[in-house]
Amino acid sequence: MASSTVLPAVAPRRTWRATARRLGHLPLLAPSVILSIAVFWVCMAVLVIMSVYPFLASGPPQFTWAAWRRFLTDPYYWGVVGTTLRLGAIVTGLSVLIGYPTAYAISKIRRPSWALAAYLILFAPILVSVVVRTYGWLLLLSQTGAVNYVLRTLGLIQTPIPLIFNMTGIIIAMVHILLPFMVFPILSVVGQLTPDLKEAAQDLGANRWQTFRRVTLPLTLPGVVSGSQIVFTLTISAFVTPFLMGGGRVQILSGLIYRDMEAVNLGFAAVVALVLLLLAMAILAGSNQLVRRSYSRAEVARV
Amino acid sequence: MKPGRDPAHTLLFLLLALVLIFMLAPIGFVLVYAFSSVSYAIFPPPGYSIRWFVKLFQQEALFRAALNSLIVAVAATGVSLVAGTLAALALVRYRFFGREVLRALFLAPLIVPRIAFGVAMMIYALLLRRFGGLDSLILAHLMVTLPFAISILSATLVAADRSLEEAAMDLGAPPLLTFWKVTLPQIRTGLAVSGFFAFIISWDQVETSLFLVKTDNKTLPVEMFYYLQRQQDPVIAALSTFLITVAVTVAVVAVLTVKPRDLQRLLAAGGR
Repeated sequence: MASSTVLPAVAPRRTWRATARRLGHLPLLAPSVILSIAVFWVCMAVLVIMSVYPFLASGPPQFTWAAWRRFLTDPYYWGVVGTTLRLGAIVTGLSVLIGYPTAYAISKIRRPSWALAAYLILFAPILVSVVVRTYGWLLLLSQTGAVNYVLRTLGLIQTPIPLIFNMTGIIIAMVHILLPFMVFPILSVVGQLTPDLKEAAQDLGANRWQTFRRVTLPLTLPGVVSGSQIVFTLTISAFVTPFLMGGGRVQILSGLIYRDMEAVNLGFAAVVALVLLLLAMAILAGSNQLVRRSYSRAEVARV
Repeated sequence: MKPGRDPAHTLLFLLLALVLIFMLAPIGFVLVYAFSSVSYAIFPPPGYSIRWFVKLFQQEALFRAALNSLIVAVAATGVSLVAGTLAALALVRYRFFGREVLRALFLAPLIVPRIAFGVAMMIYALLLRRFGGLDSLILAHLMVTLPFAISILSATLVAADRSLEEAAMDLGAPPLLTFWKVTLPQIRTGLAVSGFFAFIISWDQVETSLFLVKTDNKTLPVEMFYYLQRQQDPVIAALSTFLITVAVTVAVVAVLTVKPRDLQRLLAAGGR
């Protein structure tokens, strides 16, 4: 470009850039928007339609509430919803009880290499397939497994205690799988705590428990709440671990979906899938409220 | 105050040690049982052998499944990275009507329980007569991996220095060259982490794939799931030994190459 044309050349480039700035996002968004509409959103619509208009069943399809009515009027299915929620609550509660001190301890490790090792041990299991981890628990907890062996050798029990194919086994394995998802959000808020806050509380005469209760806990609550949110929703929608550890003796919603899919009962499977989705959404909406409140409380404590 | 002398701290670290043992235990036992001499789970194993590794190499179904998983994971990761980078650029660099709504729509698949999405996707695949194909598996996995890529890459782009891009453009670099020479190097970590996440999520996807695979053409985790239901001999343990070795290598390489602070920030973005 010759130097004499520099001045006039600036103007068209500016307008070109202005247009690019105004509409440039459209081509950038296109692939994701098309994918998400054509696959995800159509899929969800298909699921809703299937639940009231079972179009792939034998015979001509017609509109019916039968599948919904069957789910909502049978106490058995309400029992399954109850078991699912109970499992979610127990796993979340245990994850908080174990995850909170774990995150706190990790944040207290002084030597970087040890902290790194703790991180690795805690988060590397995520890289191992859920199927493999569940298999490991089946091996460990079976009647002839290591846990029963150790308990018997120590003389604590006479006969092996059943730890798999029941709720206990599901809970142990689920806590193991979901613990990193609880520790991580807590760790990120614990990391932001500054020692001067605690020192200030202690200077003002607070003992250890009061310091924890009035300063540390409110400040770290947002991490606990968002960790619980993740763990709860992942627990109620998990399938592989509850299915294998439960051995068909504990029924939760995901197992119900699997059973109906195996029986090619698509309309009913769609209903159960939607119930699970609605539960997950309700829990997220409710806990988002909690997150907001815990954050504002954390702000108060910070002030 | 020295933490080592404090009884409360000692208790805390004791608990941490127990938790770390708890995290490693099932994986460790899978490794032990891979070398067991008997087919049933008994502790301690009466003897040790490598017969399960021999039997593993005779399992054609597992190898086909591993190949399927690899194809699906690579495809889902590649598409997520490209589409995710473009979408993140639009969401971070442009102000437009409905941006927040669009962001919520992109992230919505993360809320849907994967098994529920699996049901929906299976019905959809039947409807389109694409049931059992790898293409419908790739699309299904994409719906799970793309939101992760978009949220991690958005977080990285927010942190990237925009004035560098503007400087490049002012000096006459066309947008594509600017992106290639200025933006891309700045979001390298984000790309690596979201690609890694996408691959792992797809590779270990059971719930989404479960209803989309045909009996003779599964993905690896689904094949392993069905194998475990049929029999619990240590073939799966032998296979897991390979997978765990790969996973540990990857974890160590990741920790050594990515800056811990970046990793922490991006893991936080990915965990949402």
